[in-house]
Amino acid sequence: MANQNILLIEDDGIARIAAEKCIQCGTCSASCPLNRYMDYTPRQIVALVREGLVEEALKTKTIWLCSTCYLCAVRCPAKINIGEFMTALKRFALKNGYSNSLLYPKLMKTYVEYVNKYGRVSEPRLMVSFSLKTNPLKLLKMLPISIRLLKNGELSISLEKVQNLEEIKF
Amino acid sequence: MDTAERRLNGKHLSFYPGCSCSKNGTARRYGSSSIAVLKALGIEVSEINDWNCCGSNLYRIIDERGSYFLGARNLSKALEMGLPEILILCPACFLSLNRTLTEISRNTNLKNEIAKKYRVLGGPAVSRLRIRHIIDFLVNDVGEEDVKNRVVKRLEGLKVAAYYGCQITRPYGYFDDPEFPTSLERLISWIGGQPIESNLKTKCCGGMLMLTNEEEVLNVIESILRSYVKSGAECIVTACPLCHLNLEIGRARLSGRVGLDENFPIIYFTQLIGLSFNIPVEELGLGKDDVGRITEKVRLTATVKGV
Ligand code: SF4
Ligand code: SF4
Repeated sequence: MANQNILLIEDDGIARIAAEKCIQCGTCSASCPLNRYMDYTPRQIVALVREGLVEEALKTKTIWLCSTCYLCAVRCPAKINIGEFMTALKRFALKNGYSNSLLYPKLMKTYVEYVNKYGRVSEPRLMVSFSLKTNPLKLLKMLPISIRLLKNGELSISLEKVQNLEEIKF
Repeated sequence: MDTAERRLNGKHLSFYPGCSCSKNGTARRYGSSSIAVLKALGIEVSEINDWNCCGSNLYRIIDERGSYFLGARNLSKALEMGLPEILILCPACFLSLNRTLTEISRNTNLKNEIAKKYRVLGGPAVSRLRIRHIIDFLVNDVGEEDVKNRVVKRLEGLKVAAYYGCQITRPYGYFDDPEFPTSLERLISWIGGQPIESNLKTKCCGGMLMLTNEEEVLNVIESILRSYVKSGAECIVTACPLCHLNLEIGRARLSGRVGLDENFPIIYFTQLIGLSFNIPVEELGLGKDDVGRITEKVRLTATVKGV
């Protein structure tokens, strides 16, 4: 039932396209700026999905290390957008509860909460809320750079809000 | 007045600052210097009324449908203002609004659903929407002659290396090469600077992962900074709020290791252009230190035009 597994990853069918068209050349893996830190290379993720081992792909660190820089996408000889493929896997992993303990999904959730509540995001506030939820000690480490940014006038904790918040309820 | 100027004078675009380049954002200096530079070139921009966050590449992971609505609301506001050409600075916003527009154009169901909420997007006006990155606009619409004509202080011989980061040219970078763009180098040379190449100029800085995978991202940034140190640049210019922040964090944390002065100037490219246009430094959001360090490198042979 391998291919049914693939079909579960909905989106615009990017997972199926990748599985069908990938020639396993490894260009994506070689191009990836985060490849050294991944447990599976991007090419291997495609291979896993193609073999129907979707669950294994969803449990990798790789999908959360993809920064969607799209270098793989512009180089892939089969014109597969691996950045979007990774995005589809992230979405699928999240929906099915594979990644709830990881930092990146927590960051995303904090971000989405901000957008839904205010319509805009204050980056310094986002960083503080996120750090408080995950690793308060990190705030101490960030202190020297924060002071410098503050002196440069790059930090403002003022919050901007969308006036008509009703308009962003969909 | 030459033809290019006549064509552009009075040109009016809508402006989407996004959270970073807005007045309280971390890249507010990118915002203010861009507006000042455009004004100096005779181009008017109006901030989109009550704009909202574009959703970046994050919102869509949790709520894909919602992310298109977020983008669509901004597009609809620009249309309602009668300014369908939208100027954007932040590459993540540029990517996100381009994606929304692409999806609306190719997915009729989505478009119909969105048009129920933001009516103007159901009409023919949608086809007039253009998402323009400021680099694209300056290089391809304003052009060499007008930029050069506006320069008051040529930054003669200043060695400037541009750092593009990833999302300006990928995957929607129709105005330049996705891996080896040259638009910023052209702009640098128009204001008298000497463009310096780095082979890592479009390598990703790690972006948001700085918050979740600090060690890995610092390693990536270390390799980028090393390549710039090796290039002999005297100033790095950036075009992305997140790249800029990450390079600043890298400069603060890694300066000793990579042999980079911790006061090495890293500024937005619009700030550098503004400097050559002789725009007051407060408007550009440039600190005295940065200005000092940059101008002392400008070669003594500099020709000062006007003023
Ligand atoms: S670059 Fe494209 S074809 Fe090559 S391994 Fe990666 S996804 Fe497959
Ligand atoms: S888009 Fe993701 S997988 Fe592709 S090169 Fe960039 S970080 Fe690596």
